[in-house]
Amino acid sequence: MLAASGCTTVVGSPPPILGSARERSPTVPLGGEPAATAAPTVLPAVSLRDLDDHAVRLDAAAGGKAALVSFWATWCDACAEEFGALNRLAAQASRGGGVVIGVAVGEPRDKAADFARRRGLTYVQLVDENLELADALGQKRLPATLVLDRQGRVVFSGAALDEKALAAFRGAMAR
Amino acid sequence: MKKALLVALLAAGSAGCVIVPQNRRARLADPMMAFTQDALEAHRKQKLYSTREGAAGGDGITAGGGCACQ
Amino acid sequence: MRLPVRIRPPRRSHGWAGAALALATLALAPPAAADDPPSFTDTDILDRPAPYFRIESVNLRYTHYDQSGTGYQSRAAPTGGPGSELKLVGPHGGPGSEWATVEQPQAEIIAKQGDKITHRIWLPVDIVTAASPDAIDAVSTASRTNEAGSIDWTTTYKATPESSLTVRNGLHNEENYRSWNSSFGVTRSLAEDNTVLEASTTLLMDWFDKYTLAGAHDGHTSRTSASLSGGVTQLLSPTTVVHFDYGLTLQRGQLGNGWNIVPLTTGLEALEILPRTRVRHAFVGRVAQALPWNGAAHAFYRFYVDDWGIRAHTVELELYQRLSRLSYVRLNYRYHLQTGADFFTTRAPPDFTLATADSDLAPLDAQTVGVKGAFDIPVHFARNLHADLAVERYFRSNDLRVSVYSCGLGLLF
Repeated sequence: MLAASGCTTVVGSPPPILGSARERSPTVPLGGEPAATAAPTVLPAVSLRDLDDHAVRLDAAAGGKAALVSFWATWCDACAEEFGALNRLAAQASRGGGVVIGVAVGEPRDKAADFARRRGLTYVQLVDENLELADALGQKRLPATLVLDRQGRVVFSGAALDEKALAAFRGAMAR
Repeated sequence: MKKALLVALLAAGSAGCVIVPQNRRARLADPMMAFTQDALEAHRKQKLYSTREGAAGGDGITAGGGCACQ
Repeated sequence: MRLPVRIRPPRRSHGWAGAALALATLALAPPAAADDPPSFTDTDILDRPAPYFRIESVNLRYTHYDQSGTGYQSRAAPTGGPGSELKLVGPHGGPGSEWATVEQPQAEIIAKQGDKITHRIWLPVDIVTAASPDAIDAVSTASRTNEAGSIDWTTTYKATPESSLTVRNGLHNEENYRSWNSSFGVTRSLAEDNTVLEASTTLLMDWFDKYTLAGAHDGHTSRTSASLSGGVTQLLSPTTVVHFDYGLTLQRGQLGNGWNIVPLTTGLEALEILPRTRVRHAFVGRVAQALPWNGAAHAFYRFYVDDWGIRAHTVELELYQRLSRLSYVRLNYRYHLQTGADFFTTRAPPDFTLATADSDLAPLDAQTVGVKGAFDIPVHFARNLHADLAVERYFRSNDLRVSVYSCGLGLLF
């Protein structure tokens, strides 16, 4: 159970009655329905780093476009399950006035960059090494998904990429 | 004072303390941190001790001393 | 006469009509920044649902145990020259030989059924070649090599994201011994998985053959074991996790193997007699601590006590060091100290009611040292290929030594 939340601890003593499967990281997000924000909220004024180590704010990285932001980590298997979908979404969104941004949380920049390259992540990547943005947004889960409107305000906050997040993103792009 | 501390510890333990949010479990996710890396290795360690020490078992594992196991 | 080939650019119109036309064109044009409306569907983006039934992982392990030493319960003659393994322990005999080799292949398949059900099928086999300490081989070497196999099926149902139920059933079969076990367990996580509570109960029934001192078959016997255990795992920090558990086991029936002998003060020997019941308690504490230099340390302590008079302390330490993103090495050390059973003896009076010379039940201390290397190998046909190699040396104060060589291979899909 701890393993399902990001810890490799395989519960169950004595083995193997419990905890026989080795789960390395969240395979399901934490329980509870993802919540859309009631009203658009302004992003905290926190600076991230891009993979070339330049300081950049999340709304600036969106460049005035609607953005779907995915918080991930190299050790998060549930995050890895979304990479293919996010790559596809990035390609589709670029035709519709949107952008997909990945934010690696709690990771050194070079480690995130190496991982993104090996896994073939085609969308914009930023790094929140000290979890400053995640803490300011109150985001504790992995994976976590945000949707920003063209004004850089948060209009949706959820867990894994799902139909609700996609609907919010389509809505933000259409406005 | 000691009684109050014990009660507080028990209360915290029973409710579960949210000490580590999910996005801060990078080190905990490393396979090196798992108490049991895999069940097959756990079994072979368990077998080594349960068939050679009379004090094995008692934790859901039977055998230990005189079990006829090798 | 050649016509001119130079193309002149059209003259620019500077007239008012042209300007009005340009302004009208601009007013009617769509906003310059607008793109096509989003046209992708959820199906275009999201992965197809996983198959209802799918194999999640396959794990294999092969372990070789090489044991040497002696024990008074063994019928195999004192270690000596050729043929000595066929002689009974005589009046002047010492402890019998406990040499043995065990080949232990294991296979495990973990499969998912839907989103909530996980199945684990486990198949361990033991091929034991021993100094023939059992009754049958007092007469022949028919059981010099003994094969034993098990099949074990565990099903876990994830009732909610925070709780799961587990049911397990297993069958074990070997030359003269059959066993069936059944278990039920629950886990519950609290506080966003910072705390996990677990409880389980196990019932085990063994049936096996009885033998006379001379090695003749003497019917069947049985024993049952029931156990309860409970534990808690708690994250203490982003780098520390602890676990505590307690287990209680109640056993009843023939609790020995039926052919261990006890040397008598008269120089003869008799079959051991053990109590018909046993109550066993075990308390375990573990901690895992991530180290700043990309390593980890584990500490384990176990206290055991039962109503046969055995009290034991076990301490184990493991040190891990990551060598690269894909590999790590582990060093481990274990120390075990136990008192003997109240009725343990190496020379019993002929009219004894309870006595055992089983070296496992003797007062002893034991140490284990080991090293393991583990590797994760990126492959294109699976999420991960895991391989590990481990070597351990176990040595007990009452003349038993075991070398263990183990290799494992695992595919995660």
